[in-house]
Amino acid sequence: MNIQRPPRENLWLVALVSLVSIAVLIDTRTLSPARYDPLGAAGVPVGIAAGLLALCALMLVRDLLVPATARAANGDYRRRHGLALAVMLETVAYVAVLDLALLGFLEATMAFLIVAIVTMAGYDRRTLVGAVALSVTLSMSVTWLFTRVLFIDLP
Amino acid sequence: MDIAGLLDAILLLFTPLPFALMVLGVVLGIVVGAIPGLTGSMLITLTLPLTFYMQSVNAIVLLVAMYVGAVSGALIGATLLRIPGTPASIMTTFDGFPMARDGNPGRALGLGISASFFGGVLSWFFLWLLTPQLARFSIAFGPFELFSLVLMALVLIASVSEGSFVKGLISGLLGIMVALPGIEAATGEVRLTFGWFPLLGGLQLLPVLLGIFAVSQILEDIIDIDSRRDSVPFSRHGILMSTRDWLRNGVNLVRSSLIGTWVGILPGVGASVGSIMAYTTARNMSRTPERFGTGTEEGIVASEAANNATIGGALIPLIALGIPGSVIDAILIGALMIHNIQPGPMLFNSHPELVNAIIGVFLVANFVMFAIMLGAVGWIARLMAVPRHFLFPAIMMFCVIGSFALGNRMFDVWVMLFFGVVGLGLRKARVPLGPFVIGFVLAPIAELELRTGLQASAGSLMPLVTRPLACTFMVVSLTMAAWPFYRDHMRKRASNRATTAGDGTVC
Repeated sequence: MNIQRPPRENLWLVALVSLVSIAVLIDTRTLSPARYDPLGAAGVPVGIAAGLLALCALMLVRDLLVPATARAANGDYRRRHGLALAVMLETVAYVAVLDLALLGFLEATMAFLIVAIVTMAGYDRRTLVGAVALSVTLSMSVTWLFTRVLFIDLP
Repeated sequence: MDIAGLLDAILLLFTPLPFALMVLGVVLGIVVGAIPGLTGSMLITLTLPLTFYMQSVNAIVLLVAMYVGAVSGALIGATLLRIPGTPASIMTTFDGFPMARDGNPGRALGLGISASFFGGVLSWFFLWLLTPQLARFSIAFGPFELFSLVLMALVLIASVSEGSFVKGLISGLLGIMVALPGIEAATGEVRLTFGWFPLLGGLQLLPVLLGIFAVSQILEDIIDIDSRRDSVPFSRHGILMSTRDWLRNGVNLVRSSLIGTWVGILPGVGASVGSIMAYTTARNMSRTPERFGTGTEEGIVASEAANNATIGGALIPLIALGIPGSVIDAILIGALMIHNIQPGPMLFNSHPELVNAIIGVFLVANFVMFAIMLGAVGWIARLMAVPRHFLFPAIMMFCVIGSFALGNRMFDVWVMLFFGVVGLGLRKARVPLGPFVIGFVLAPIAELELRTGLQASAGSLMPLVTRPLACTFMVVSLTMAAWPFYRDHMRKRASNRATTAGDGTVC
């Protein structure tokens, strides 16, 4: 039998899904037994977790036995994982600032938009001017729209 | 059929606010559909918080108009950039872009716009005709029928999703799992909160949707921000179809629209499958199948008529059964739930005006889409060049506002960010996201129906087999679940046979 090496993303998927399923199985042990129907509160979560574990096992076995098809090439450009991570971290910082009430929505949003745009486009005077113009206009108009027109609270 | 109610709804659509919302929805939908990287599901999810304080009819008018616009607008990117705005227009790229590149961009767009319009209007007819009948029929559904129907929807969407069937199922089950934490509806018991009190209320639909569709999409687009795009300059020449064009493509238009409508009606199967099926059928029935993929009219017409027709088809189970026909329909169900409206057969009695509004706006929005696309496609094409580094942070900001506005708590914003990362991980592992959302939306219904049924049958699952409709749905589910494995097995056997035959020849 020819054993293949499973694709790395599939291994991650199997590991994380199995971990979640096991956590669910452990947590449902504390639930009280069924009273009104045979399933009870734990029935469906246990069934789903068991199903996920079975599917993970199936995927792993298939990946080991069936040769993986070649993935399509990514094209002739650089994939910017670092940039995506940077923008995500900036978004997390933006949300944290709002959550901790370190700045108001208007100021925090302006700062976030400027930093995120410059991070993606690169720093030069023209980009900076565009970023400042967009961030001021957008954050002020959004604040006005949500608080004065739609009466929806902002963070 | 409530003709008077439908006429009232259509007249209401021509009063200032609903009309403005409908035009706005179609325009935004077209623009977002046209810009690669932005999707209709992202737009509709981001718009949900804006509808909180609207009347439910106005909210649904805006959202359905966006739905029509987004599926139609996708053909612009597919034709001029060879990048479909949504997966539903993938087949359009095969013939739309070659025709545009050969000097006929106006003709390619005109064919797509007209076919989209025709598909939409024909599927509207079936929406209007079939929805009340199906709702009347489904009132007789008991809990076991409803449970097996939901199960069938999940299996169907997993089996037709892009990528592997097993990953589709994993995605659907993960969606169900995410819907389970909190206070359980049947007994009031707290489950899967891991002792963390913010989870007591469960995970809300909007932050999960925003994370899974919007945030993860933006992150993926940022990763690919350096990708180069081929583009064709726009020209209006040949954008209007002549009577002869309509007649020449008539059979293809009707056939593709019918395929799209039928695929749309199947629970959980979306526009991309309808488009692929119609395109393949058109190629198989064509006198010149070899011209498909080189810029033939038939390919564009088949793909676009079918993908717009799936909208009308998909709205049928949404209204009549409360079962989403596609991912956007699952979001629409969420929108209705936010407005305290439970879709399903009782909607005809509880909110007839809403049913008529959905049916009416779908028809009128198709006419509005046709007029706007023909008149302003050049302007919309220019918007596709908007710098993405300005667009993405702005969308992130709207995601933050949308998640917060749901319940005025930052917990939902963190949930949105968490599911953004989860969504990106699932995309990277090539796990389809459609089943996740359908599972998340349908899980509470499925569990409630199953447990209600079990209480009524003293714990017996036999009604799943003894009740004809439930049994039919179960058989379809099992067949669809077994089919990918059987297909793989047959392919492997055929491949082995070919290899053996090849070896024999060599010997």
